[in-house]
Amino acid sequence: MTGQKLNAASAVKKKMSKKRGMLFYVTMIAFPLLQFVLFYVIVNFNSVLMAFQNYDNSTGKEVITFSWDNIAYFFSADVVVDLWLCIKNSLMYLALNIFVVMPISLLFSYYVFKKFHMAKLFKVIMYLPSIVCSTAMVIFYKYYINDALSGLFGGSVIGPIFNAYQQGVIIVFYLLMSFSGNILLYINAMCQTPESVIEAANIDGANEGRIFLNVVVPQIWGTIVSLIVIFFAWLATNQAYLFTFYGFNANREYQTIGYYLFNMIQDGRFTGAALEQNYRKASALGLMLTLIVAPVTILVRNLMLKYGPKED
Amino acid sequence: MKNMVKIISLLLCLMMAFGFAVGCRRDNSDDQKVNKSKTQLYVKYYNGGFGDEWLNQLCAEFEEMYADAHFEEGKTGVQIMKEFTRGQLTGPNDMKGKPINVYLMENIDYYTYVAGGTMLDLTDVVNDFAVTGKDTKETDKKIVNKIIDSYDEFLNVSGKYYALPLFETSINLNYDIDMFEQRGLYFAEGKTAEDFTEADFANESKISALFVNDADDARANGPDGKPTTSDDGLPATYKDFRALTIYMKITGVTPFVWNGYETGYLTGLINDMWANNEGAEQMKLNFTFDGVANTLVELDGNGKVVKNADGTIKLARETDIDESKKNLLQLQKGKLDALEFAKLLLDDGLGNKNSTNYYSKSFDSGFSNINAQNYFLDPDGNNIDPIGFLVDGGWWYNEAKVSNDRNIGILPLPKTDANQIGKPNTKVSDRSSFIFVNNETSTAVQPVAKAFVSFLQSDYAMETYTKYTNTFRAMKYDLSKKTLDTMSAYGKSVYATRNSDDTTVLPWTPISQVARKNASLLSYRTYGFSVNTQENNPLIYFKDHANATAVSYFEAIWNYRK
Amino acid sequence: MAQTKLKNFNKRKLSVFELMVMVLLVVYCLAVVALLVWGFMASFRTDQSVVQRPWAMFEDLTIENYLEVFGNFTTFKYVDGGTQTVYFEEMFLNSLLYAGGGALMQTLCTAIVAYLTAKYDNLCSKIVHYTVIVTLSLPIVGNLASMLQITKALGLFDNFVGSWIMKFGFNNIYYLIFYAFFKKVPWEYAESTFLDGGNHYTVFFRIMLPLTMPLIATVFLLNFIQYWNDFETPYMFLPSHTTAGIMLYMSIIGGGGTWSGPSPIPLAPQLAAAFMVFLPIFILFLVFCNRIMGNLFEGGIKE
Repeated sequence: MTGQKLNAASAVKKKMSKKRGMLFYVTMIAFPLLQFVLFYVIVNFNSVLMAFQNYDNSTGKEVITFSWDNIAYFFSADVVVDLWLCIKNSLMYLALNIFVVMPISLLFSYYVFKKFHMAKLFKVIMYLPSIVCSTAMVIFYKYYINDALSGLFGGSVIGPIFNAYQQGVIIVFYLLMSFSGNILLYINAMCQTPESVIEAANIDGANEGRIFLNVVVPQIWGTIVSLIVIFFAWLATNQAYLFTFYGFNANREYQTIGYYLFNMIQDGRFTGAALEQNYRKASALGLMLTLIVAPVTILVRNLMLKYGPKED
Repeated sequence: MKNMVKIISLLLCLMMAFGFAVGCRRDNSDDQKVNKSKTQLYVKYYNGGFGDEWLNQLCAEFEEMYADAHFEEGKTGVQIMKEFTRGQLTGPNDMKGKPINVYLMENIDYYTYVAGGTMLDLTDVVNDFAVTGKDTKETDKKIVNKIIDSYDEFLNVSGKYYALPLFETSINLNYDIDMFEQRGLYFAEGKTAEDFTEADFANESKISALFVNDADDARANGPDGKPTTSDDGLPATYKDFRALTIYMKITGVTPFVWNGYETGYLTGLINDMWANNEGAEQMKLNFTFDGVANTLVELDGNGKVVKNADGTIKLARETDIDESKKNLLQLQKGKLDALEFAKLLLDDGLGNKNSTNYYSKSFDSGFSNINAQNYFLDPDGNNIDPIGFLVDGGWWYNEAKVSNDRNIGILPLPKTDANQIGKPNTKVSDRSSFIFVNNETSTAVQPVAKAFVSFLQSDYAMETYTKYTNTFRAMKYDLSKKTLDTMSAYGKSVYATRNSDDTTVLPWTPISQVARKNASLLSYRTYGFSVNTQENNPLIYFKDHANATAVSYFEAIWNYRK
Repeated sequence: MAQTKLKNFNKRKLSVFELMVMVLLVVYCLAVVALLVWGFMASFRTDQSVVQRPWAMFEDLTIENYLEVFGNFTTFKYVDGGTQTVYFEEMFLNSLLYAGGGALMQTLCTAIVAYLTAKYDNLCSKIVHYTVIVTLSLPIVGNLASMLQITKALGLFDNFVGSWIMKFGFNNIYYLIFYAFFKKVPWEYAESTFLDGGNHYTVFFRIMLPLTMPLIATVFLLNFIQYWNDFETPYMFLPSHTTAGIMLYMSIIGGGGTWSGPSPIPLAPQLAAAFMVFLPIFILFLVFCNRIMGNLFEGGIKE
């Protein structure tokens, strides 16, 4: 075949391949996209609508009108004070996730990745909290603190009253559960680090700390960024297990935004028209939080990717 | 290590298999199979603390009554299919597409379900006599005449009825009568702490002198101010109540226990005290936002409570209440007095190391209502001091399966001061429980459903309810002497508290259209005592704000609600 | 052999870094083990014994709590118009179906979409990729009523297939993990397949998917565990199919839904129920521990 004919044949082949590729692409992505449209787009569009709805059945019929009342409710002086308290707690948990949970989880994961002493045993024990149902862990912990360790604290700690130890005790539980959450993901990501790079660092005389910080962390930076994005996304939904501990009686001082929102739509506290009205208020608050958290999350991600450590 | 893991895994699998094998003792007696020769009536009942024995009996009797009735072609008789669980309805949509015909539920916002169109019109049932047999009915009173006036006001929607009230209950202070008798915890005749000073309250011998030495000693008249009634010897006023709590501790009794998980019970009790202080007419303003308020506390320009020269709280002039002024009801004096009472539950005000009035675990979120009941009923078995009062709802007696030989009573709430002794009692019933029929019930089954609902309103059925639960349906009926004689002391106490002419029970539910428009404001957990969107429980507020007084808390409530 | 091991042990000295992390690990692990062991022992004791003498771990031992779970922790379901009691083994099976099917659906869907967006550079891929990133940061509140309406309208309510379809989504954190993985996989594997006469389906099913198997297994397990422990979603969307997680939740709140067991439940049986729900996951983890945590990202085509 001449060169021209070869190029033409190759071009046809490429075109056919492209078409088949498109066919493959469309057939594989169609159903997931449909599921996404149904269960995300349509569902949440309705939620956005609800943020502007007023529900009234006082005349014996359900009447829905539209206004800014639900949004305005959260700007009244008293609600702002409560919300701010919740936001502070939520930010505290965010900071815990980023500056305590993540670094320590990474260190633990590195320890297992490098197969240091008793790594296998630690690996199994570390992972246990993430496989035990959180409800069950809360039961164990609640009775453990309030009964087994009550002597240490001079009485029950976990309850609806504010006391000096309670926030600390709740944070300890949160940390216990959080450390093990992403261990697997970190270890899996660390496994991508070429052994030759680590060996080279060893030969250059780097200690384990340097290898961790300068070799492994840059390698898994993408995973780290992904998880930080998730932490930011959790900012408005993280209940910090408060509902499982307290039902709807968590003390105001410990509440997070996620718990505050969840409490609004708990049908144990509110029923009927009250619950319907609260659903709409909660949708409004969720919408406002989304508009704040979403751009912050994207900004954080882009900054971390731009200025974070590089693999090379 | 690998082998160890394999061995452990194998052992655990074997344990699980062993557990399945040994533990699977199957008792399928609760399964219900459809009898195709009969018409099925599906009944869903919120089977909470009141239990289901009463309903099981009535269902069996109803089936027997209609054993040879024909409601559907080719079918004779009725088979009741029961769903007696703790499942609640989340809203009218929860009823759609379900097989259930008749509901007996709590936490039902009546108007939401009416507006949702899911409740069958029961007007014909209500305006008729209650069914007592297949072809027999009562002849004395129609069902509509058994509905308590305060319920009738909101159940009647433009002349139609869509539901009937189920139970009526409040949060009460329950006490062990035998323990009270043994320890002489009754005020002696003519004795009261009404004139006590702070120094007197700290004086043990003065406190002790208020109480009987012997079970047979004559007792004070109690809150109703009448001699030889069931409340004789019980604290008549707040000061008497305070003295009682101090005396209890002197005799080695812990005054109170409540559960730390469902703290709404505490709010319920203080709501009750608020209603009792206000009286029915003034308390009802909170459910109508329409009327004249004459018990509002006067505030100065800074939102502070104004006092008279003699130190008493100054009341404002009579005020017309409408939707724009509904928040003024937060200034009802009965609420301020209720906050004083809340403080008495927490401590005796003496400021010493023994001042706490409640059992130490009461604010432990793992301390359930069952634990609290158990500790109250069996202090010896739990190695604790006896407990004076259990704070719990009227259902607790059945829930705890208390044996009938226990003498348990309900404390009539004390009055704010001696001037109020003898004033009628007011209670609030906050569970919003109703009986209604699903609008999707087929036309063939509707007559059965209606007959069943009607039967449940018969005096016999309501008396059966009371016999088993020791509480009352939220309807007008009385008990036969035979039933009364066989009731427990607790049941008799409930009867005495509720059925006296002096007691009005208000349903905690928005009555007027204006009130219904503000339904989210009127949640019984949050309406009365909120100082922000989260703090709404009086006892917890006082615990969290150690320096708060009833007046400062009252002012904070106003500051939030104004 | 023992000597060699001893030699190796002596060779590997503890570095400061290793020591520091080990101390932290020991503290953490001790806390976890103490909590679980105490809870486990408490599940074999009576309530009163636990509350009054919490550290007398071998006092008043009984298996009654576990027998209570098997015998009395029941719910019911409607069958042919009648009702039937649902015991623990059926709840266990329901959990397997819900968690297993749901985990498989979500894992596969996420892997497929991540592959498509990572390897096929077109507008749709870009849109999907950025949509996932944005949606992961959106807090969604109050959409439960809306979700219920849609599932009921589509006939997906109260059946397992419906719940699996609901799980067949890709906007979750594992999308980013799969995406990162597929981005690193060289496209040369695909080109060699094309040269050998294969097509895009061949590339995906015979090359890419097997390469991803360890990661899929990991993600599947994580999802499985999450769904096994989840009670909120099946409580709302599978009311007639009680799972073990729902049973645990109902026993803790003292009823609700179709619970027909005793109410409320004392502490010790709750602990027993918690361990019953935990045990299968623990066994699974012990058996597959090494496989899951092995080296997942080796390249190369396997036969």
